[in-house]
Amino acid sequence: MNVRSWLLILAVVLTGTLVACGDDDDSENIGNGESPTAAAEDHATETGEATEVVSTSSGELRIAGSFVPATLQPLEDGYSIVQFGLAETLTRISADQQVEPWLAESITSEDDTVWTITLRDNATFWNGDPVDAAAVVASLAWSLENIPSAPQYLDAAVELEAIDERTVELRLPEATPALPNNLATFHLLITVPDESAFSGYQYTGPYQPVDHTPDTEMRLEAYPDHWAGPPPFAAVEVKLVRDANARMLALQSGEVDLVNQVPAELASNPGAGIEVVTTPSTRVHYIILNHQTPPFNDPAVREAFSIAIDRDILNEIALSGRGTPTWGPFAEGLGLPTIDPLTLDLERAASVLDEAGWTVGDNGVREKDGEPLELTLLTYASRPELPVIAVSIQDQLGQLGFDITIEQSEDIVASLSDPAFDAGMFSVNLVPIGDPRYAFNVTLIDVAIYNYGGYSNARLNEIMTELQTERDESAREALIIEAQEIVAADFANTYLISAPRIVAYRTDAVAPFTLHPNDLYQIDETLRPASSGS
Amino acid sequence: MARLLIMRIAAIIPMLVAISVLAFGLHSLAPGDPARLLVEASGLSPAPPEAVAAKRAELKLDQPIATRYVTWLAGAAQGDLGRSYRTYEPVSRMYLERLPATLALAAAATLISATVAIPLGIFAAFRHGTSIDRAAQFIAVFGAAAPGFWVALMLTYLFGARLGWLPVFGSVTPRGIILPALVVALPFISILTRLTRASALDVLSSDFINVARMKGLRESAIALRHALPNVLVQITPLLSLELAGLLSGAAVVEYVFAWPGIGRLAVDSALLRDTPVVVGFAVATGIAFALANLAADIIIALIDPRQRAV
Repeated sequence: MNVRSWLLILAVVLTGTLVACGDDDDSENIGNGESPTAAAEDHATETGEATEVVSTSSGELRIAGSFVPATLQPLEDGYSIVQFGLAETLTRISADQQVEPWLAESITSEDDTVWTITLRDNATFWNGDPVDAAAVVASLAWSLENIPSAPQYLDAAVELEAIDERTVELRLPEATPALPNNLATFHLLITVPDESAFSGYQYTGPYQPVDHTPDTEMRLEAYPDHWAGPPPFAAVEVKLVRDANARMLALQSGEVDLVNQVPAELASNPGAGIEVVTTPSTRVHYIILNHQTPPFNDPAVREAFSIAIDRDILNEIALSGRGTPTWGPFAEGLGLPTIDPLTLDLERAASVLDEAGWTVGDNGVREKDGEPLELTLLTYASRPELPVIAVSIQDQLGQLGFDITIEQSEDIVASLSDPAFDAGMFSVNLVPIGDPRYAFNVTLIDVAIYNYGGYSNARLNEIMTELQTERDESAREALIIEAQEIVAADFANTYLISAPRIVAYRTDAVAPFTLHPNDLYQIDETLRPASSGS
Repeated sequence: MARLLIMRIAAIIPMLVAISVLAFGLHSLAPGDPARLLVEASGLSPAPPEAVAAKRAELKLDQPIATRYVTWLAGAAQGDLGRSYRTYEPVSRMYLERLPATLALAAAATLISATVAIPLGIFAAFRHGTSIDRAAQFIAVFGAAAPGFWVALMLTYLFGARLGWLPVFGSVTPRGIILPALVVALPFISILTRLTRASALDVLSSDFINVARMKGLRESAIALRHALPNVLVQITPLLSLELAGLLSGAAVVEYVFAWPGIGRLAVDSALLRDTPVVVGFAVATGIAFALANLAADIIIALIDPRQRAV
């Protein structure tokens, strides 16, 4: 056999492999309760041409995002299951942070201890079974037993009883005025384990999965018997595209209709026929200060540190001006009670430090009793804007006499758990269920899980205890205001920017819609085909 | 030949054990708590301590590394590479699900790079010192210097978003594979062109080529019958390594083109500390490289009779 023969064989093998590519994508399918073969056939039919020609006239919404869930199970990916319109909770949070009914038609209580939930009369699981009182009781009990975080929202000692077909009674050990908010958490989504279902669970949402490749893509189809009527789109295709530039290019080319998590710097010139929607979110970027060690155990340093940072500059350089500068845990415009914000005041920052004995040394760094005003600011890469913000803060405060070293942490929680840290960038959704108490309870009170800095204020702790049982709405609001004033006066943390939610869509495919501040609500009835109008 | 095969295959097993020890050990010692990262990846960010504790217990991460490794090895010996911490899928199935897309991309990229680089390198050698030679070298330098993600985005912008000729997303279809394969092939075209040119220059100065010329053979005949076989002997190992490397995925390209390949799976799993997937990936990559090297040895032995006696 001569060389030409070998080359011919090589070419035939490689060409054969290439040509065969068109038939090989059936192996990307998995699915519970469906044979691999069947799933493969479905997938080949559905996605074989998906990247080439997909008609939007059929009512299909194609989404490119930075995330596709790894599983469709409530224990692992409850957040995503609600986010993508698969599952629903009894209540949900509106764009202005008010509780509104969802699977529940109403929730009432005389004493905030015994709650009566009236269910919709037409809600069903995907298998057609009604979402009746017995099913809701079973679902809540299942969540309390199986989901570690569920008892934070619903006391595990609750007594659940199906009064009649549409009425559930919850008897709690103590008054819980925020129960309607708590029932909006994804940890308490309504489900029935069902091994025969594609996802292994029956849910109630407007879209149900027919194909799912973990961390890659997911195809949803409308659940026609959804209680709110047939969903606007017949199908939703979600594709994971990690690179933000590639997501926007796919939108421009018309291969997708909607792109989530658009980086602020790409939102300015999206291209013809593309609309960008921005809204402030309940996620806040802030700096946790260590109150237990120098220099932040000195109130003057905390105050100067906070009021000398120009949030507008941070917003401009890190988020192209699309974020919302904030001086407290709640950004303006979210419908939450807020106090008058502090203001940038470089002169006061300097005088506060001077009065506290922090004088400028020969090298421009302030010092007190021979100790320089130096600190390490931790940051992390998974939120790309945070390191940029850290650098700007280093520059701004350097002019005031702070000597800041930036350290990128591989594991920010572990780094902040080290009692010796000085300050660390952090980012949390501070109002996930419309209840402003959450921000204080998880980040600021003595036992808060994210109170890494050891901040402590007795009155703040008392307020949060009072709010657990305070039923009067105006009194609750007054307490929330007082709590914010305490946090502001103590300069407990340095709040910086409310991160924006940015979504881009093709105007020929999707009708104009209002973006929810909480990305838990991503695919719902507000997303409609362009032909249906807004 | 048979002895060669037996020796090479026998050497693969201890190599795979060594790879798994290294992968398991290094990955376990890396900073970061897998339980916390996995909880955060499910939407709970930052992760509540009780959820982290539950996840740690569930994954048996509180056991010593050695115990976990021995458990894994016992399963691997029976073909069970464990299950993903995240998706609970068997690692072998996750790998096999992504293998066709990875194979397709690797084969297409190898085909493109060989088809372009070998003729270009030989032609440049025949036209040594001319503008054609310089053009070939420019292509080689450009291919090596241009970052893959940049080339990917530029090609996507031009052919996908602007001209609309090709899909922005890669897919295992004739049209969908062109851009990803081209981007993956580009650096290999560069390396292969330079190596082919150097090898061809070496061969062209040999006595047997001078004899062929004196006998009056045409240049094309000299290139195909005499130069090419000798060049192939020298570049086959590189081609096999290229193929093996691509079988372990091309993460950057997979990210930009949303290509459902092994590279993206490996990177995502490494970032989320999904140890079973990472270790399985390391073992599978080791197998790919071992087999590719073996294939290269066989091909070289078939092309070059002198190698068969070794």
